Amino acid sequence: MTAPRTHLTTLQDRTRMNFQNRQPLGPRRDLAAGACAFAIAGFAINAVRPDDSVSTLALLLDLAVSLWATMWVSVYAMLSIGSVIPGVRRMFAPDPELVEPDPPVGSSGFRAGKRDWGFAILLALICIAEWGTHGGERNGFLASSRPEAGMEDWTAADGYATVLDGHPAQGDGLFLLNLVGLFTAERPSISGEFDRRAGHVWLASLLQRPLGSYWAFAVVNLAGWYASAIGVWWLGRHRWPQTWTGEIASVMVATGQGFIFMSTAPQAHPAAFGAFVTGLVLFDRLSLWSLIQARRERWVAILGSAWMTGIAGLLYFGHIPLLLTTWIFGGPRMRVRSLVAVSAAAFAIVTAWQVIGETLLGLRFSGGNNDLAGGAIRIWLRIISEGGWALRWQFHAGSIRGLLVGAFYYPWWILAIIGIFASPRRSRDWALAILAGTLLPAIAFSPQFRLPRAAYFAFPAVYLLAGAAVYMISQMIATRVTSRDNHWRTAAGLVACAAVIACLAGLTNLDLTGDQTFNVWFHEAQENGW
Amino acid sequence: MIPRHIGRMSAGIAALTLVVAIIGAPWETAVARGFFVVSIGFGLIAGSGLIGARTQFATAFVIFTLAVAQRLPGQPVSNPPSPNWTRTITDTRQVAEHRFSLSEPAWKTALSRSASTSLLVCAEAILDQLDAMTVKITTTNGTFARVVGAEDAYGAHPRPDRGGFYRIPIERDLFDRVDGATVTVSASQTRTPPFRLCGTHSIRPGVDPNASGFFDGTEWIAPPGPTSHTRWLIELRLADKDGRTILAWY
Repeated sequence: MTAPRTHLTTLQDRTRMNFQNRQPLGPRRDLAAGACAFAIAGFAINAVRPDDSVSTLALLLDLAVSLWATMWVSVYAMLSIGSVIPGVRRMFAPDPELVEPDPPVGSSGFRAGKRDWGFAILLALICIAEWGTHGGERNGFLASSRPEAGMEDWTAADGYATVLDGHPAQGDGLFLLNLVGLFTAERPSISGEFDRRAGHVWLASLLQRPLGSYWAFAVVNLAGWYASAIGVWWLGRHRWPQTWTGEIASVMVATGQGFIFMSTAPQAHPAAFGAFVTGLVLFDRLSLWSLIQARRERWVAILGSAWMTGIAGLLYFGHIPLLLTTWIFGGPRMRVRSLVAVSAAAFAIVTAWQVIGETLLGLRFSGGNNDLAGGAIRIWLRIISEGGWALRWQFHAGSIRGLLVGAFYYPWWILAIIGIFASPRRSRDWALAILAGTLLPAIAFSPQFRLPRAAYFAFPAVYLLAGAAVYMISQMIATRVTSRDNHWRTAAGLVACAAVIACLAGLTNLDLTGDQTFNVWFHEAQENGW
Repeated sequence: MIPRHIGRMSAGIAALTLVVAIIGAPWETAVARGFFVVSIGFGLIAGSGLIGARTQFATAFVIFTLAVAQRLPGQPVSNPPSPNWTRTITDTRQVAEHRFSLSEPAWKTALSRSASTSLLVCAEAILDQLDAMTVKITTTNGTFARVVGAEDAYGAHPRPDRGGFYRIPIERDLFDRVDGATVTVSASQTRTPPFRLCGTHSIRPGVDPNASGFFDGTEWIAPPGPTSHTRWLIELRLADKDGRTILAWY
C-alpha cells in the first residue's frame, strides 16, 4: 500500500511543482528531437548494408555522431518551425516566454560603471593582441594553406597568398580589389567572385584611402571581432543574469579560433560574425520574441530585425543563420506574420543589391563563390536520388563530427553540453535555437565544402553555454573555500574561471608555437579520425 | 530636449553623408556607394539610437568622417604583383637558375628531422621524352642532374594551360653540412618544343631578392617577373618518414 501512495504523492508533487513553476508536463522539443535523431541514426546504421564507414569502432562512432547531430539539428528545427502550427505547438510544453515576459533589457544590461569600462578595455586589448600576433604571414587562413600544413598539394611555399601593399595576405584578397576600386571611384564596375559580399568591401573601402587595402580589411576584421565580443558579453548579461557567463564567453570570443584564424585575412567572416551577434542583441533589445507588444513597438522590432538580417546578408550569407534562428526560436513564440515579415524584408534588402548590381552596375552574381550554395543543393539531390547507401556514405565521406570539431574543439563542446544542463530553460532554448539555426546551413553546405568557418556562426551559443558551465564549475569550487570572507570565495571562483579560459586560449594560440593543427582543422574540417 | 536636438543633428549628418558619398562620383560608384550608405550606414546610425542619442550622434559623425576620407586623395588601390607568371624556354641555351640559402636555422632544424628531400619545379607543359627538361642541383657535396618527364608530375598535374609541379627526389646527403645550393633548369634536347617555366613573387623575409636569375642565351638577367621581388617557382621540400612535408623552402 505504501509504495503506490508514495509514487502518487510524488507525481502529484511534481505536477504541482511544475504548475507552480508554470512549466506543465509535456515533451520538450530538444529531447524529442534527440530521441528522433537517435532512432534515425540507429536505423541508418543498421538497416543500410555495411561498408567501410562502419568497419571500425572509431569510424562507426564518427558516423553515428555525424548522423545524430544532423538529425537532431534537422528535427529540432522542424519541430520548432512547425510550432507556428497551433496543433504542433500544443504538443510540447509551453516555453517560459509565453507565460513570463523576458527580463527588461535595462535590468541586466550594461551599468556603464568603472568595472564595466575596465572590462570593455580589457576585451579590446585581448582582441588587439590576438589580431596583432596572428597577422600577416602568421595569419591562420594563409598559414594553413602552405605545403607544411599538409592540406594542399598545389600551393607554393608561401601558400595561397597575395601581397597587399607589401603585406602577405590570404589570396582571395586579390579578387576583392575591383570592388574596392569601384567604391573608391578608381575602377569601373567589374563582376567578380564576391559580388554578394559587397557590403563587407564597402566597409573596407571607407578605410582604404587613409590605411591602404591591407590595413583597411584588417581593421574591419578587428571591428567585427570586438563587436562580437561586446555583443556576446551583453547577451550573456541579458540571458544569464547575475552570473559571469557573459564575461567568460566574451573572453572566449576574444581568443576564439574563428577570429584568430581570420585575424587580418581580407575575408568577410569577422564582419559577418559581428553582424550576426549584433542581430541577436538587436532582437533582444527590440523584444522581437515578445508577444505582448504594442502595434508600433512590434513593427519597429520587425523592421529593425529585418534590416539587421539583411545587412548580415550583404556582408556574407549571415542572413541565412539569422533567419533560421529567428524561425526556430520564434516559431513557438511569435506570430507567423511577424516571422514572414522579417524574412521577406530581409530578403528584399539582399535582393535589392542583386537587382541594382545586375541592372545598373553589370555585376553578374554568378561564378565561383556566388554559386556554391546552389551547387550544394544539387549535390544533396543527387545523393538522395542514389538511395540510402549513398546518403549514409555522405555522412562518412563528409564527417559532420569533423566539421563541428573543426569549428570548436572538444573542450568547448564538452563545456557547452555541461552548460546546457547548467542553464535556465529560457537561456537554454535560446542557445539551442542558435545552434540549430547556424549548424543547419553549414551541414547543408557540407557536400560542396565542409567549412567550419560557416559552422562558427554558432559561437554565441557555444561560448555562452560553455561560459555557463565554467561559471557553474567556478562556483562549485568557490563554495568549497572554507573562508568566511566572501572576497576569498569570489577570488577562488575568478581564479578557476581564469585558469579554464587560459587553457582554452592556449589551445587557440597553439599556432604561435608553429603547430597549425587547429588552423588546418578550422580551414577544412577534421577527417574521420577522432 | 537635448537628445531630440542631437537626434535631428544625427539625421542631418546622415543626409550629408549620402550627399558626400555620391555627389561628383562616377555614376557606377555613386549607385554602389549610395546603396550601402543608405542600407548599412543609415541602419547603423538608426540602430545606435537604441543605445542613446549621443551614441547615435557619434556613429553618424564617424560614418560621415569615413565617407569624407573615402573621397580624399590617399593610397591607391593597387594590384598586387602577379603570383603566377611564366617564361617560355625556347632553346637549350636558355637557363633558369635559383640559388638557395641553406644556412638558416629553420632549414637546418627541418633537415635534421627530415627523412627525404625533393625538388619541385613548376611548369606549364606536359613533358614527355621529347620535350623534357633537365634539372641540375649543385652543392659543395656534389652535383645531381636529372631529365624530368611526365612521370614526375605531382599534385595538381601540370597542363599546357595551367602550371603544376614536377617533383624530383634528391639524396639527402647532397645537403649535409652545406650552406647553399644552386638549381638550374634548361631544355633537354635541341628538338625540344618550348615549355613555360612558372615564376611567382618572393614573400619570405630574408630571402635574397636576386636569388633567381635567367640566362637568355647571351647574358644573365633577372627573371622576367612583374616586380623586383620575383623568383622561379623552384622549391626544396623536406618530408618526414610518413611523407608529410615539414618544410617548403626557396
